[in-house]
Amino acid sequence: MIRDEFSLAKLIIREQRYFSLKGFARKTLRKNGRSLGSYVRTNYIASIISFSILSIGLSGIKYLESPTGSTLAEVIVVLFFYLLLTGGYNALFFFSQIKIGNIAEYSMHLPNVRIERTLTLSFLYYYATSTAFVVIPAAVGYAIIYRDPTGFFLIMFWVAIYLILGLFLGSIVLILSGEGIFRRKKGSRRYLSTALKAGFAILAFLLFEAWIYDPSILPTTYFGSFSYIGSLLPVINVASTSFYVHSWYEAAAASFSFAIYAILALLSIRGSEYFLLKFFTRPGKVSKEVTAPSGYVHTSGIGSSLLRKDTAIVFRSPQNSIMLFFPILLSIPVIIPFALASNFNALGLYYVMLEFPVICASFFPIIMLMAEGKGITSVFSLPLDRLRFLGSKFYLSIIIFSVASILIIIIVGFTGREPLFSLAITEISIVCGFVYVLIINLIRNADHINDAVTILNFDSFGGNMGLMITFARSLLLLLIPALAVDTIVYLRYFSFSNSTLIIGLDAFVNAIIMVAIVIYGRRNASGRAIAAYT
Amino acid sequence: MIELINVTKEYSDKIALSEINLQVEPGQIYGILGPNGSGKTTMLKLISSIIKPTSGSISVLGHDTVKENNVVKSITGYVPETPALYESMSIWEYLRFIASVRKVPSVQYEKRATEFLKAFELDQTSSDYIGNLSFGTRQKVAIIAALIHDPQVIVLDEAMNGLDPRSSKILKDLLARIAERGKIIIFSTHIMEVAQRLCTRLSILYAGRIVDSGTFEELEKKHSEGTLEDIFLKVTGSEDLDPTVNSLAESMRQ
Repeated sequence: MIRDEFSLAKLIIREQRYFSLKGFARKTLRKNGRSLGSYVRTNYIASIISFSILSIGLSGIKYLESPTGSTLAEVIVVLFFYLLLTGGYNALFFFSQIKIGNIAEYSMHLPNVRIERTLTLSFLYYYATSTAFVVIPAAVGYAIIYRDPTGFFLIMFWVAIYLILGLFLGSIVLILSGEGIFRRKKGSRRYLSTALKAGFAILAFLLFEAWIYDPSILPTTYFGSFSYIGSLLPVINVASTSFYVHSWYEAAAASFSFAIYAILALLSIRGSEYFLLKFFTRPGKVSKEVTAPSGYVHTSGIGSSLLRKDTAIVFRSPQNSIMLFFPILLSIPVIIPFALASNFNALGLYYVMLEFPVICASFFPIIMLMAEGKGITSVFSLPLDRLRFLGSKFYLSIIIFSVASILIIIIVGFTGREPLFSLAITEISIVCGFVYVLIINLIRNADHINDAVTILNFDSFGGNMGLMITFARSLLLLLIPALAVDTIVYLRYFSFSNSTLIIGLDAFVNAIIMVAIVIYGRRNASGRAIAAYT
Repeated sequence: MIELINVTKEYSDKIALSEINLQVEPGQIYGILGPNGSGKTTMLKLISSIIKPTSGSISVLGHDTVKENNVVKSITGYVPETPALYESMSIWEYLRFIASVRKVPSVQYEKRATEFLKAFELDQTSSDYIGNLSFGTRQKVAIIAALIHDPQVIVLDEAMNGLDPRSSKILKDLLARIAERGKIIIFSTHIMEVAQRLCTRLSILYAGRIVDSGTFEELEKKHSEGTLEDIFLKVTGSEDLDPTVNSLAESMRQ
């Protein structure tokens, strides 16, 4: 029975990939002479590389920032939590795609197959294997550097546990978001509920980030040294029970932590199965609300209609919303500590802030386009050109980016380290940079859409490999002008001391590039069909 | 008039349509019949300017579908084979979005949307998200979206699929009334009774080619068959299905 379920689990992974690629990829795969398997492997490698870069980046920054005795423990805790969050994120993404594509539907009536078990196995196989490749080198490195072979097995043990907890987290979010997303509440209740959910999510993430910056600000932290109380609280005691065990009672306490976690992981598997079964078998809820409110029916301009449509398809889908805010929230832990560090001048701050448009301009175009989902086919039959279609996605992206970047600048401004003038220049510069990179990435990603497409999703734009390429392109597009300006200034003055002048020039260059790219973008997209013809 | 001249559509791995010539006059209800994979959807997408022919030309009311594709889309209403809509929008929101893009004045939109929703019994669920709707209900939404701007040409790809008898009857009668106003209706279906009763002219597609066309009476006379189903099976070389059925029944007994 388990063998059948495992075979089916592997098939579901393949189906999920095929579903993502069908229509879109037919041409691409043929053109490159690659098979579906090859495409999947390429993306698999890309996900390993991207995960490694993020892990190394996060741990490296943390390690360089404050190399104290407890740093290693903190880094490990941060990485485990990162693993937990990305596990939940991936579970949400993976199962949403399976649900949208009705991939599990065909397996539900098969005898001797429990679909919930199959789906759990499918996720663990899909996600655990790619994670294992990332973690094993790090664990081996740790064991060699610290001469702690036991540590290798402990790391792997914790990784397995956090993967399962990630699955559990994802399945809970799936059930909660699925219940909420297609159910409308009346009037103020609806807004109150949304505000509460958003508030809770932001608060939880802020707590997590605060913990990353400075573990001591939370009262129950026992990272660097062994603590009896801490050992009884496994959730906050991963590192100390794994790497700071020196006596029999510490070993006993650590074992206790392990046991608690192992039981929790087993229960999580059962819990995930329960939630997944519920999610995949329940019918859609039908609202009892009747008729549209008066004034609701008036048509409006094409631009505002498209903007409203894009706002709805992005923010009403938990998958799309999470995908949109996840990169922002993940980039903040890297930006803020550097931005607040006292040894940076305006130029240093500018380079730190550049990371934000790089990340946002890489993710936003893909998310905005994949949010179309199956709806893309209904857009094909409408009298819209590419300029209109991409225009609303462009404006929505700018609004979100501007709000987020202004908030970051305000946080930095509170330190009083930089004058308001240089902060304003930095903001203008990164917005201009974001605009031109966004336009280029939107056009490049839209080029992937052809008239045979029946659905758009993450894999429609090359999956992880596509994202990595977009990221690299964004980085180069923003970095090259900045470095060129710096080089010219240095060759003129043999110094970087006048940082306000340099960031002013950077803003000026970015503004010029932005204007040029806006003109190019309008010409490129105006009058062209949304999809390329096959 | 819709005119297809020597239209061929090739995908990378196969020829979907080959050397198609077709004319549809105003006021006609034109039925496209054919087995699965015969090229019906491709033909309807070509006419709706959603895809481009590999060779040949198509004009819709004098507008070239490649050079003037936005004009063709403006005057056409297309119902796809599968109602793929934005699931996170409510019925009202979706229809309003379509009407805005198609520049339907508010007064007209309000009147039409209200009437359509009432006729298809969707007025009680118009605030529901499309993601919660059944296949048939989504199909109704797709049909309303295709008709909301009172198009000159209506293209329906197996639009009767999933519709309840009441809605199906309303749609059929409505199409007949619209055609009386000189508009062009072109649709594909597997329901032979519907095609026989509704269509003023028919074409039968097989492996990407039109193997026969004419009015039902012309086809009946030519093939000496009493029903459209018999004509269809004869033209597509599937008239004697008994051996296949016998073989299947036998294999299930073993």
